[in-house]
Amino acid sequence: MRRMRRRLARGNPLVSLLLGSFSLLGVIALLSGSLTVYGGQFSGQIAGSGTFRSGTQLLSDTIGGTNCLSSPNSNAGIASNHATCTTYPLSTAVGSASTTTLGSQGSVAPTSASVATGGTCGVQQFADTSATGSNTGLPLGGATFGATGPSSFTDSPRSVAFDGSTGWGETLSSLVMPANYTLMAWIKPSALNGVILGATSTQSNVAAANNDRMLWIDAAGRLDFGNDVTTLRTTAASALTSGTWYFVVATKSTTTGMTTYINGVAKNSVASAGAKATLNYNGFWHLGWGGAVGSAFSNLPTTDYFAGDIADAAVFPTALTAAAVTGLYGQTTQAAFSAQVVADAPTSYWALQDTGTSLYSGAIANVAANGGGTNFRDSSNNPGTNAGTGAGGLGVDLSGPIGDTATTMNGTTGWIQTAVGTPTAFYASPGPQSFSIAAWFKATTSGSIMGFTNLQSNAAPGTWDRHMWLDAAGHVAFGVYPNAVFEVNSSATTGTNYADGNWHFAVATVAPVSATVGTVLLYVDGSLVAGSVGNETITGSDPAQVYGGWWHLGWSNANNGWTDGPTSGYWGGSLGQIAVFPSVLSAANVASLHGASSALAYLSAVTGGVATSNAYWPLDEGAQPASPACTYIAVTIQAGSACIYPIATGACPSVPSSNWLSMSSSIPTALPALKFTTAVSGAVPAAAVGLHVSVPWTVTGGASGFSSQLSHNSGYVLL
Amino acid sequence: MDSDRRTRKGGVIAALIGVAVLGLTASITLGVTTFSAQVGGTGTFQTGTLLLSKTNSTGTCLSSSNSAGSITTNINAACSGSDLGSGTTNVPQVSQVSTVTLTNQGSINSATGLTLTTGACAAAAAPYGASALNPLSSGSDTAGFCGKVDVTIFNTTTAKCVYPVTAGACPAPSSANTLVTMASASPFTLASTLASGANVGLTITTQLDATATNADQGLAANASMTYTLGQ
Repeated sequence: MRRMRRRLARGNPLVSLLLGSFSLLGVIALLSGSLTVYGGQFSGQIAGSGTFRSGTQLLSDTIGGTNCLSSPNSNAGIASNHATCTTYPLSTAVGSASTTTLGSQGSVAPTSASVATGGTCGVQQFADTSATGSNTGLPLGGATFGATGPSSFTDSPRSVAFDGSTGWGETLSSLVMPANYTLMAWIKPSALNGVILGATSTQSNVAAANNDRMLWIDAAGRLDFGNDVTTLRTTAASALTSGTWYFVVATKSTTTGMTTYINGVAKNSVASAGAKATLNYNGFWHLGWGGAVGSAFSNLPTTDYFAGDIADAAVFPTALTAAAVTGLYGQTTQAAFSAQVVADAPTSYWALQDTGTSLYSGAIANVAANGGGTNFRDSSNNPGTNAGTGAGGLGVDLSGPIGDTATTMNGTTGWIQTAVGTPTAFYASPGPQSFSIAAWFKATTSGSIMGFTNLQSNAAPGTWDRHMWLDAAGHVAFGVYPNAVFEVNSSATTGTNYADGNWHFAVATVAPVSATVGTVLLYVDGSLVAGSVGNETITGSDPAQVYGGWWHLGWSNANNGWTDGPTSGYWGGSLGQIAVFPSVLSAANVASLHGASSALAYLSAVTGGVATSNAYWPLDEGAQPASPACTYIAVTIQAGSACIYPIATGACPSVPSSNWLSMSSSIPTALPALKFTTAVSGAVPAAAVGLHVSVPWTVTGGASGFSSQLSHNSGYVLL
Repeated sequence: MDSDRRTRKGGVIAALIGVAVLGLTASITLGVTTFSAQVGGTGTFQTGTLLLSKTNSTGTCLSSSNSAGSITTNINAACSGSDLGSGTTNVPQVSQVSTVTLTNQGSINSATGLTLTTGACAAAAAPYGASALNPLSSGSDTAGFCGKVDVTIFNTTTAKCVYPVTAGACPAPSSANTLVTMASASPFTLASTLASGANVGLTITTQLDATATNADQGLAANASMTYTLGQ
């Protein structure tokens, strides 16, 4: 361009003049910042934006009209997405049903959901918060946690409400009853009747050989204190009224006698020899109950049960001074009051400040665990009566296969004996000739998955075969005895060590080809691993030995006689979803069973969907709780049209004895309503009647990294 | 070299003379009547247009309004729709894919090409208002949310990853490439030239990172995405 301009300028002075003019203008424009006008730059622009929104996975449940939300309903409120609800999914009355309605409250529906017991089952307790803290109290009957506490405290104190007819608390320690002592409690009577605190020589609320050291309210509203055979009644002017909080104290000294205080002020005292006397016996303290009715004391109540609220009950091993009593009454917060009580060194102090979520799972006198043991149901529909009985070291694996729980076995004593061995329409004897067995297993060591013997025990059998096990190298093996030891082993096609701590699915099929020839195939995780090549076709009088017998789960006698037998007759690991089929499953059948993604789907598959089993043990029963009282309550959970505990199609069965309060089950993601039904399991000991059996429950939902949880800790079933 | 210097000097002299002549021309009047002949005619000078359109899941918009005389700034800041996708149910480790197509709708070719400039990300509450019981619930992690939105941008026209810049396919979404790091790496060249009528296709993949927690529920991360087509 510049060269052209030079050429033009050289040839024509006028052109040169004009070009020179434009050049000058260009310089001027550049200096004035008008380059864009003359530079000619076009542009187009779209100023947009991108917004990425995350979903919400929130869960709610409704029990008795009360909603509980996994997250607060507020902006920036979602943090843990885990809420502790005030409701409880089980009805207090054993044998009753209670419904929990679930709701997905987020933009993302859960892709998984489950219900589980969220902790250890136990009984509610009145914790002893004294320095020694060893004399736990247990509420029985109509005693309800979480009532409002003394009105003079400013820090939201609590109390326990007693119904005046069934509610009371027993203590667990048998103590030498003290000669010098103080009884203390905050009370708000709802009726002028009943015993606030007292001792008897028995742990229960029945007539006892000895009963004294008690405080009660008589019909006139006056406070009475009984020691040995002496009754000290407060003055008429200090009569109590219903619905008012009072701080009541009674002291007894072998030197000064008996004194009663109301709200820090002495209301009567007696220093007679009788008042200084001591009735010696070993006994138990009772809260909200005492053996007053029918006793030798005066001004007796018409009932031994207290009606109203009690808080901060304590027993001291000395007669507190008037100053100490006044000092206690002068506290303005429950926290300060508790600190002062502890400082005054009580023998026992039941503050009664919790909400019933603190559970006791230890021993209770005269309450032994339910001896029924765990019954492993047969969920086959043909006819489903070959239940198993657990023995030895069994437990629960909450991380079972296909979303279910499973049974753990300790490898040395734990196993399951099945019930039916005699000939029936479905359990032919001799043992099955044309059949299949299937099991999910998880282990890190060799052991027996299942086996068939001629004995209904794990004693040394006379005949045994149809065994499945993991050999010493972690290979899956299956053996029959067609007049000779014969086995198929996964090592035929793979060196995989299946004792790797992961869940695997094994299926063995036995197909008689003729009277003397059969084919045995072994599948692991849906694939054929043995029996596909020549030497697995067996020859004998029968493919499997002819004898009548029983199936054993988690135990076999394969460690005797087979070349690659397990290192133990027991199973050290977890087992689940074991089924026996009176038919030969095809490879497609096996693949379908392996592909069943949930326990409900598997149940459907083994009860006709893929094949019809004649025995099916899900092995997903909960563990018998450690707390003896808990072993007398069982539960079922109906989720819409399916029963999820125990897993069953259709309606739940009547509550099986082994459906303990220790479980975990998947909930269909459509979140149907859950109906919890409880029942008594076994014969409840008299000493356990009235105990508050409780276990925390959790309902959870999840969707790819997001999760929601609702915890229900405050509730119980009345045993 | 010498020749150029002479010419430049001559040009300056000519320019000065030109200015003088123009000044004289403006002031001289010839006082003589003359004959004249005139032919009426017109000259038309027509400028080209350089316009950009963007199509996302919401629709298509132009850098300038489609009406006579409407091109002024040729900047449209009112395009609707999110170029990062419109999902409201995103959860960790599940990717969301959106497509954006940018087209030179003008009459002239772009010699300087098409660029994308992304701005700083900001997070805000975006609760699921349809919930019967939790219509206001949103996560508390507004400070960290932008850094948990993994993003990649793939140019389907060139078959290259725009962000992160990669010769071929984009890597899987990861915490290495988020809305926060993308803003730092911006601007991005989408095309070095773009002929009239030609377009550039983008596939934008977003995913809530595996490190996201419940506190990242119900949030919205927003970042500006400006596309500029130069002459």
